[in-house]
Amino acid sequence: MTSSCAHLQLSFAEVGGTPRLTECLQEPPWKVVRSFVSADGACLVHLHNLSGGVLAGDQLDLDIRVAAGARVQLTTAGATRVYRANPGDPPARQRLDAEAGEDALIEYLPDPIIPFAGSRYSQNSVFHFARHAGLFWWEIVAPGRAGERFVYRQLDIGTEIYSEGLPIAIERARLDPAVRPLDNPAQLGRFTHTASFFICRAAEPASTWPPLEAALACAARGLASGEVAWGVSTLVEDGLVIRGLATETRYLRRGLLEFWRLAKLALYGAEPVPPRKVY
Amino acid sequence: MPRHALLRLLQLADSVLPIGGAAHSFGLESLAANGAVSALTLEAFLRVRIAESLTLEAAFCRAAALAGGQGLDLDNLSRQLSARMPAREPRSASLALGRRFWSLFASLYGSPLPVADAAAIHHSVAFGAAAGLLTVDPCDATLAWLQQAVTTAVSAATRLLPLGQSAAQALIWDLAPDISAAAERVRHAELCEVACFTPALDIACMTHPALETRLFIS
Repeated sequence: MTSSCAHLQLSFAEVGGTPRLTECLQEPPWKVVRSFVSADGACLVHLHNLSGGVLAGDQLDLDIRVAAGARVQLTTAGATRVYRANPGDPPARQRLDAEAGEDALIEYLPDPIIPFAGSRYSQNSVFHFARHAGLFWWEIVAPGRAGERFVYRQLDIGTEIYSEGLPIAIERARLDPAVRPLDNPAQLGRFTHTASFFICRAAEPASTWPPLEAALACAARGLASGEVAWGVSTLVEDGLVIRGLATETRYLRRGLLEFWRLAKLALYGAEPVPPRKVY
Repeated sequence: MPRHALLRLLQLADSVLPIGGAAHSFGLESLAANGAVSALTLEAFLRVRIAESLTLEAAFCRAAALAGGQGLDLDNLSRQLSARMPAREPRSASLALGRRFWSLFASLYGSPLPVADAAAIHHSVAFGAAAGLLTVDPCDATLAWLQQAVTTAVSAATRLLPLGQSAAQALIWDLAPDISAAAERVRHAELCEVACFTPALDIACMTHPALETRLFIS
């Protein structure tokens, strides 16, 4: 298979009181078959990669525009499998640029990133939020496919979240496990899988976040075990981040679903509706 | 750089500078409490902390020092760094130290600072800005900030772990090449390129408020 430069542009807006996918420009291997209306009235879209994974040299761009008031839930049809790169191959790259208008909501709940042996992957995700717009976004990174542990060559994962133009979360992780092993007490310790869950809402009163942090931290303590550890913190403004470390993806998924439920209830007064897939 | 500037830099980097640095462990207390860091693994932990989170802060120290007090937007730099510090406790600690450092430096400087005051300023940014105003070389400023951060961390470790004073000094001595390498890395990197991946340390910082007994604020 050959590498791809492909663009997927999705625009959402409220039409007649219902959020709809109003624009879908797609180039293979990106594929969006259709949108659904989920049980809570959000517009649900599954993102497919027809290649089955990300190949060395791929440049996959995803632009998401959510107009004022629209509520959108995006998920993937499967894990982001990053295939082996040959020596000299450029890294596979994926870029996400998301914008949410006033009072819009983006729930972006992708499956894990699984970097195969010898793979190189660079991902950059940027979110911009207008006043009262919200975000629920988690990211899970596995150490490799079954039987592989940290034999990928490099992962470079960047995140930028801006609330009304101001940065509230900026991260860049560069993992090169063959050169710098990750099993130290500052990075992964005895765990192998990581998760970050960003929960944001622009212009929410500052008084919202400390009690939500406390409630989620209480849940985190209840979910913690020898297989998984969690931490919760308010961001500098307008949001929270939850960090998770685990020995397997399923421990992270279980916790992320619970945090999502608690935070959605607190911020939107409603239970979240998980996408149509088995967790 | 005038010699008295070097002396003032050494003074500002001294661990006895009364800004409250001794009250913070920046997550080490949690890691010691749950057994993830012991006296045996402390050195490995500090090497990663220097290469990751301290390198990130050092990049901001250098950026502030490079500006040399000219057109420096301390608020913006500190805002950018706050967004890169996900855990509340170390973020607040860094801002508290920065506020006290900047206030002390302003009183020592003796004339009005040629930099707009900041509503919130991180320690590394304040240190770099002060070094810039003293015309200290940005590389030296970065090295000095990193050295005081490591000294503060080892000092906290002596109160949390069975680590004697001589062993602590040997540890700081042995970490000098790591500090030097970190300063060299930020010399060649844009702020947006500096990476930091410390999820276990983040979780340690985030769970610190729930420790039953605590010696440290963070």
